[in-house]
Amino acid sequence: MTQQDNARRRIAAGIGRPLLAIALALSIGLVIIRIAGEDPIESYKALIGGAFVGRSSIENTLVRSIPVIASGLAVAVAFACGMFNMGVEGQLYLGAFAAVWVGFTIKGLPPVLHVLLSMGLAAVVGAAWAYLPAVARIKWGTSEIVTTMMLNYVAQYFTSYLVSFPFKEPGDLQQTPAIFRSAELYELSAASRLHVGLFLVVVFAVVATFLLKRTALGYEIRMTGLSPSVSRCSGISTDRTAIRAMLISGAIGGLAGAIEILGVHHRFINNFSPGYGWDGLAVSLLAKGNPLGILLAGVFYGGLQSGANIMEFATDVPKQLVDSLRAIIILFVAADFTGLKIFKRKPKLPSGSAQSHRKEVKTCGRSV
Amino acid sequence: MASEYVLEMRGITKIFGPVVANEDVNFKVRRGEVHALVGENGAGKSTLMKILFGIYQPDAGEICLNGKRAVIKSPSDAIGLNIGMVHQHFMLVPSFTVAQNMILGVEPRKGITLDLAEAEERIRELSGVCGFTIDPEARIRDCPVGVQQRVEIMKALYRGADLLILDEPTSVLTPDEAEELFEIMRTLTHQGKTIIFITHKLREVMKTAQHVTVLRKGKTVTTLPIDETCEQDLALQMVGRKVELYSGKDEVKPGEEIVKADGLRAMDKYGRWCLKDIGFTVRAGEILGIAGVAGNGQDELVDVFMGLKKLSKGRIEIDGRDVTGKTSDVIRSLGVGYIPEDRYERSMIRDASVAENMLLGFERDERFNGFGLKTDAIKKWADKLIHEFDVQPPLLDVPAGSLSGGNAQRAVMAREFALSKRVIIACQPSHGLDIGSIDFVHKQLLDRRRKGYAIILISSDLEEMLYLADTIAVMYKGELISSFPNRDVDEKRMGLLMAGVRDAEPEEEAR
Amino acid sequence: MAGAFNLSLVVAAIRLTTPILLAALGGLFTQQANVLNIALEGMMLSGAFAAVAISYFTHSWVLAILASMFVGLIMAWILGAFVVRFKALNVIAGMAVNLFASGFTAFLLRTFWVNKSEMTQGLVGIPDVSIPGLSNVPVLGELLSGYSLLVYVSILLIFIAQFVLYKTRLGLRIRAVGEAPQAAASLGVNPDRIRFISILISGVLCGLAGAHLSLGALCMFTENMTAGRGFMAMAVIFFGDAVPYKVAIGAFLFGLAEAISMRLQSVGLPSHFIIMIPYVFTVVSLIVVSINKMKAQVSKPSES
Repeated sequence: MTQQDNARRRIAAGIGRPLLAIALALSIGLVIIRIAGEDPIESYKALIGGAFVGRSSIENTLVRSIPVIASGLAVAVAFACGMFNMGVEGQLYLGAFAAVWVGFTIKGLPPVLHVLLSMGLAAVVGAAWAYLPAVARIKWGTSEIVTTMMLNYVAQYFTSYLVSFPFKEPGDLQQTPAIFRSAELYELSAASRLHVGLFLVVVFAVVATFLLKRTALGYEIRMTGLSPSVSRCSGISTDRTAIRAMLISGAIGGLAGAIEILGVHHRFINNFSPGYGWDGLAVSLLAKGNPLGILLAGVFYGGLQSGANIMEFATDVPKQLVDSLRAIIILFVAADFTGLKIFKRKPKLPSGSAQSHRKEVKTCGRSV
Repeated sequence: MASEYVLEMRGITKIFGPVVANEDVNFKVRRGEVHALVGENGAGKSTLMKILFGIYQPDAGEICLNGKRAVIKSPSDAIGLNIGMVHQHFMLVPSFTVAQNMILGVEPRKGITLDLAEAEERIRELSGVCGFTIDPEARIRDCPVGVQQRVEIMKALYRGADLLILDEPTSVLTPDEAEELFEIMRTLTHQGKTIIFITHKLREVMKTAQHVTVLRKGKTVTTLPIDETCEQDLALQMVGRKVELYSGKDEVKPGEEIVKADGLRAMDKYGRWCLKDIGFTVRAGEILGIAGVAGNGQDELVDVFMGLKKLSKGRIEIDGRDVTGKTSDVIRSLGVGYIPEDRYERSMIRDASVAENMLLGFERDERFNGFGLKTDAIKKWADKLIHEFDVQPPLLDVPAGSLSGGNAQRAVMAREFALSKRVIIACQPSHGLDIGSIDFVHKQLLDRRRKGYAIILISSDLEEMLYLADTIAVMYKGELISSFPNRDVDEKRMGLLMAGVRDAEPEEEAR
Repeated sequence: MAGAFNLSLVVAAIRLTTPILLAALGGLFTQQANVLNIALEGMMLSGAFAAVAISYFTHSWVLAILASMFVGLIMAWILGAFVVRFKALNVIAGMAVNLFASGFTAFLLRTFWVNKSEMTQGLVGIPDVSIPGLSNVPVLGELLSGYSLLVYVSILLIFIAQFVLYKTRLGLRIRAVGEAPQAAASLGVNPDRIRFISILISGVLCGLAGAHLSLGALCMFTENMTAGRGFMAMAVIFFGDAVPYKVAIGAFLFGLAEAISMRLQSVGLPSHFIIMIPYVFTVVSLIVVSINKMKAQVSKPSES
């Protein structure tokens, strides 16, 4: 009985905290809208209605949330191992391009096989893109946060080059030719362009849960993330585990790009991502890295995004308000307010590095 | 009246959760003396000194400086009261110069710029007081350890310290450097400074101190003038007198040799030899006790054994297999159980559940891993383990960090005993535990011995050593200086050996 | 002809260098205090917006500059509060600040001014400074004179930053906290306080960078007009090891790369690889730096 109580309490805390952050952010938004001289109730009605009420709203929300969820899963796998994959955006671009390339060059494949091949290459490319930062981190202690982030730009400019020059479709637009029908993901709704990628990301989330919670590798990933030193002493090869986690993370990042592009655009369009990779980071944080939580958080995020469009249309509140609210949610979820409680003061110890919360994978696997 | 004692700490008590770190400790230091504070790791020396330096607040007791009651709430307060501390791990900024390190926090200024000339002037002045000179413009990272320590000492003096706390200052020094340090300490006391010298090297105590205070298990054991004691006496005071010899231990006839170590050499991070040609064997059904004051290479010995530290030379065999240079996963897969001293650094993941902790090292075992982890099998197994070892509360889903020390240790033992096939390495297995748990740990170890395990026990607790070990080897400065059957031991000889005095009589081989 | 091309390229590079340089000079203070500050981008954008807004209302570029610094400070204060006080991971909190700045400036722009993504009307820009006597000298005049005021300020700030870091008490403490926080704490220097101060400094300078971008270089505000310059500044900080003069060199290289790529674009050549160079360079130099550090650690003990 107590065990169940415990589990229940943990789940409640896991959901309660983000909900509280969301409520706080929405109330701040209320004040802002009021100051801007608009009607907050009407605005929020439009926002929520546009996100979650009615078939087309829901479909739009889901379309928007698919790449965000996939990116969130990518971030979560690396984070479970104590690594920051800030490079999902770049992995997404390269993965998308790889998928499109397979999509428009190889002809005459049966549909399912063609899609699988496209996505397979996307996963490989995404993983490869994550490999260098991972190895640099493990071998030499180079901060993977900065390297992955910098490599985003390299990936973005590189794909931008590819669609501007060698693979540019004739015409004014910087885009590739369209992929063959056989490489497209099955469309569920023509109006919203909702596609079968929705089920794919659900499958991904389930697989990620299974991987992390029910496999030996996932166990090693989580234990390495929680305590590299104990893991190493317990015979887990922490170096290998961390690199594997980053490879999986990069592969999912590549797949995120592939799904978006094979499902919605059917061709690579220059700079097509409005920051899905970053949204993924936010969603992953909101869900505390729990894959099923990422599904929920991803849909919420997608909803905010598509609802914001409706709100802007229906009232005079610009949709960018929602971006600000999302940022506030992230801040509140990331913060630890326990120190504030009734202003109780703990004995002040000399504090260490500002990153003391971070799990140091660097220390693992280094025999002196 | 006030002048005889610079410092009086009376009835100091400090409790951390269930652990009593200091219990009614009394500690008095005379002006101008070197007062040694000795005790085993965990005896409460550093807690006491952290209280004095304002890092911790005592739960009870009072501190008097020069006869006046003092309230020390932070290191800044302590510095203001002319107390200086030289930490064991130097508190220096490596890329800064000596002068920059010296002034950090009390920077002299000329307008808005730092006045380094003024600092260098004062450093020259202080050189006279200390009896050594330091180049103020040298960078710390280029300075040898001995010089860095002098910088630390001078840093304290720069802030006006009259009472200096030196926390195990010789642990990082070569013998020559240590000699020079003692000379500096003498010079300082002649200048009227008072020094509290924390150490567990007893020879150094005899050499430098005027008084010595011994702490054991958080309590003051005694304070003695140095000429009324000797090394052996202090060693025994530190580890506790042999109370009774355990008589109920079964006779177990040792079997074949299971663990063989030969010529092990390894270096510490300062590039000094911390293991020098260590060799021993352990047979089935035998407990080899490695005794000695902590810090003489025991940790490093365990690390090379578990594949966590590289050997420079030597060979390790387990069950006839050469495992030299193998990584920890290989060694553990051969069935070597490891009960480390530092639980949350090495054997228990605080934020993982108890069940998950019980799986560490088993996650690839086919009993628990087929297509995915077999959660039911794991649960059943973990449940069985924690019941067998009576872990309280017997819950699998709670984070391991919520267990008390004794219960966490039971959980670790449960797992490691299940994992081990023939070999167990136990380091200070009863450190920080309550009596009941200690008893439990001992019984379990003896049980395994009966079942024919080869057990290496590392402990600085003499009582435990005499109780459990069949053979006792004493480690001193990276060497096993002697090894003999338990029955041959006597207190006096043990004390001498632990203080590094080799046997006069011909050494008995490890058979 | 070729000479003129080169000269104007350098001039363009200097203009493009300034915003990156200002942000990097701010960010190097946090870097020195060992706080990874990825919020440079957001603080810069907020500064750019504040400058434009105040310029629009008061028609005073002086007040606009002050406002940009103030808003940069406010954003930095929020970041500092969450990172230092509430122990949020600095990467996450920094991300949030970036996201907030991008969303909120766009929101304000659309709510209070024009309902589109840029604003160009009714702004008073920061004046260009022509150096008397020099502006008419042929080559030198073009090279050294006639830039916007903040270009000169940014060059001055290189020296000021160098001075503050290495000659003042604050600089000493920032570097000490960055390198050995426990040592600093043991001497009564509060690491959290120093970290907070360094974040505030970065905010002020990023605000200034923003003001240059919106009122110095262009005299307009567009949504997300910083366009990754904050991240470039981060790269530059790593490139220059957070030492002001090295950072300045790095910033100029970034500016030059940008100037070259703009030229190439205008003649229809792929500029992508040139824009990429600074980022690739950052990654490579980061790895080289950490390999060297590791080698130093490994080899040192065995010598002694």
